[in-house]
Amino acid sequence: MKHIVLHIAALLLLFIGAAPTLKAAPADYEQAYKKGDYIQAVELLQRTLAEQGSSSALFYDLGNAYSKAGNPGAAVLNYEKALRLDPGNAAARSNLHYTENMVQLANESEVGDRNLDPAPAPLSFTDSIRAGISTFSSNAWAVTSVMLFFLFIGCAVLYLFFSGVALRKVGFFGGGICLVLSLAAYCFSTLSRSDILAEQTAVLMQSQATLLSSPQADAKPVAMPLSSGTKFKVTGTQKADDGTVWTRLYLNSDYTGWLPASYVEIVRVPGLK
Amino acid sequence: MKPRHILTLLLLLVSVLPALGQSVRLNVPSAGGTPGVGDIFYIYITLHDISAQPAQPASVPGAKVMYMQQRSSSSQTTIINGVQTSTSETTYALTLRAEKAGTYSFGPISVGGHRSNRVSYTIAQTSSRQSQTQPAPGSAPNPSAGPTLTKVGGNDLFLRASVSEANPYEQQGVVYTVKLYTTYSQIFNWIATNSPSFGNCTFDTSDDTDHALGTENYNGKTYYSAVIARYIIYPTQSGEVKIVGNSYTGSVGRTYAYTDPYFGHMSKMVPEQVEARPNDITLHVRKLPGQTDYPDINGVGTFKVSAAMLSKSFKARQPAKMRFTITGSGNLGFVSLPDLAAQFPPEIKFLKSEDKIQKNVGASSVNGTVTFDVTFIPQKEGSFEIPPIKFYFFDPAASKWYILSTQEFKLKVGEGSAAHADDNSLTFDDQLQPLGHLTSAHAFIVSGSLFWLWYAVPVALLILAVIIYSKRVARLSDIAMLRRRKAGKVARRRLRAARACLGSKDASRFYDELLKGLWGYLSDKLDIPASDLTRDNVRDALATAGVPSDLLDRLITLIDECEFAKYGSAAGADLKSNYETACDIIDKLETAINTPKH
Repeated sequence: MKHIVLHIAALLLLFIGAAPTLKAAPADYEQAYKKGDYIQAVELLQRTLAEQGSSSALFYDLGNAYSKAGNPGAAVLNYEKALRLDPGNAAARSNLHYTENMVQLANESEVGDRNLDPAPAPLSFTDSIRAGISTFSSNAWAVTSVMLFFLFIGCAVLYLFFSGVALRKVGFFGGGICLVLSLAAYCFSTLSRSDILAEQTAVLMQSQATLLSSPQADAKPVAMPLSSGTKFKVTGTQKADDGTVWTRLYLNSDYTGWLPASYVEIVRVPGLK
Repeated sequence: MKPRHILTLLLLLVSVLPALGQSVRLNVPSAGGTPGVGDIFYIYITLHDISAQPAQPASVPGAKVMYMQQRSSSSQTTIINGVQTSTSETTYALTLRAEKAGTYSFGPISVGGHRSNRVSYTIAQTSSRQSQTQPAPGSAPNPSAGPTLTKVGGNDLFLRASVSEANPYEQQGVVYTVKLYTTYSQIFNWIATNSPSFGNCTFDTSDDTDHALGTENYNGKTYYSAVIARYIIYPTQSGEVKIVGNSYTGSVGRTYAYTDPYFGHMSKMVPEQVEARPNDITLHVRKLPGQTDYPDINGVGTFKVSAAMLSKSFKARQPAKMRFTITGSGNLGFVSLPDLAAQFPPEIKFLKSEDKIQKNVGASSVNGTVTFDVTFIPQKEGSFEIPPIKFYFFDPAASKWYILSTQEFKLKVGEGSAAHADDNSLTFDDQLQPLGHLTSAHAFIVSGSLFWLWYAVPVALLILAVIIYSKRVARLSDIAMLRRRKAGKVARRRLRAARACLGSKDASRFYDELLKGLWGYLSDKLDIPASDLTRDNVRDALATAGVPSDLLDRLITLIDECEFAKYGSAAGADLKSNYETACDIIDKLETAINTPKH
């Protein structure tokens, strides 16, 4: 028996010792990206996505590849997806800000001397609270809620089974706090989930488009053209007589109007439910 | 910018990226006047950035649809937000034969989900056009001699395709001409029934075709001839390109000779439908020589470049515009700007460029102008210079590269508004992150069907623990209570056992039983384990229970005596008296303790 254990231990040590020297070969998409062949990198990453599934890092890599390839719309879309899966992905957040700033500059350059501002409407109070909640993922809140609940149980044990006033006080008040916090974390978790599922953020994928005042090809344009990568809130859809689907988009009070649904893409992570 | 790079961009981005405002446009070219009944006329369908093909309409009011062919295709590149995207434009010509006079309208049609405009056209009763097929004056041989009655096609009518250059460079314009040779003196309604295939080349259709038959000597024989199609094509890749000719159809006037009883030898002309196809041609496209010696390629052809600043005043963090104009002949769709982001000083941020092409398709080349409107943003106030921008062009006719530079611009940038003041703190991190664990099912924990168990199970365990604990406590207190009540009885029983030893004079056993009885009674009564009993805690506990101190003293004295007798010497011990004292003390203790105090 001892013999076997020693053998296993030796093997494990060997493996652990060898681990630092075992480096994964750089993936195909990494090579394409480093070489500057960004279209190829995008294609390889999309293939990996279709065959194996997704992760926050995969969407971030796609965002970078699209960004370097000159598609800010797809870049913004993928950075947003990366953040839906992992709100803690700091690089995705900062690259998203950078790209959105470039898009904003491009939109502003179209305004000329008009009195228009293509900046997104400021967040309302409830929206900023929800934004605060979404700095952590729904799953992180769920785990926190369960941990706090365990703590609450521990405090209850202190209160119920121990004598000694100090311990029982800690148990009672501590338990109360933990229970309240656990409930709050649970609420945040469900809120975060319902927000993601009810997603109505759309990204403009056309390199330039002008919002129209009604869902018809010959409708009057609203404000100035907007560049690829502009983020809207979808406020409605309509199907025209010839079968094309139109979406109503809201950026701010100056920029709200219709575009064909094929021009934008809603942020949705496949498989997230 | 490498041509290969552009090609992959074109092939993949055009399908991945819908670009600049997709649109469909119809128009009726008015060249040749109003068509009369029986004339051929065209409706052009121009698709901007749509990869779908228009469906050939089943019918067009007032005319018969002959067929539809692609007339030209081109692509443009745009630089927005720092990098390239490309757009494409394709024109289809819908060939129609006018059948009924009137004014009609056609459209809108839908291609790839986009709607076009509506066009209107008029068909006159009689044609105001010059007939397409008169032989040139003063050159025709005697019509009654006529062609010999050979089979249709063959040596009496053939199409010959030729190119101006069989070994062109990439992006060099090549003129593809299809010429009709015939011995028939009359050709009617000669039209193509499909489009030629140019492989991966872009092309423009030239309208510089013949409308009348001329004569030409070919291979020792005299023919009537006419150029019926001319395209200017641009190969996009080196290697072999096969140009597959398309089919044409029309009717020829075949002359039949016959003898009339009155008038003698006569001839009459009967139209007959024929079909013909030109030869296929293979181009051997060469790579541009010495391309690696130059950092960039901005166009192939003969061009002139000029630059102008469109904005008059400059403020920090406010967009400004300048224009680059490239004029000349060559593949205008391939002309591109150099990497301005790299050539502008760091204080001038290049934002985007938009291009417009104006072109004129001639007989052997395409001339025109490409205008690039560049938007840039000065980052801070001060005096800055935009250096001369170098354009690298290749002249395929001379097989030489030439470099053109624009002039430098000196800008004075004034103070800007506070907006975007901290944009410079934003950076782009182009490192890739390792993919980690990939999965196609990202479940929300909180909505899982068994999530509630994480709360329910600990609560259930807690309740269980509380129940068990309280049962145990209850049980133990029951036992304690039981023992306490029976303490007196148990003690008396033990004392009786001791009394039995009195008779047998077994001193050690007597004291054993006596002490057991006493300590046992105290343990039961006071609910303290026997091993924890000491004289002190017994005294304290009994005093708390209200036992008078003299009784306590008697008890302690008795215990001392018994223990001395047991562990020491039993000599002089008065067993009987100890026994009686013990009974008495226990009786008294029972009374004292059992009396309720509070």
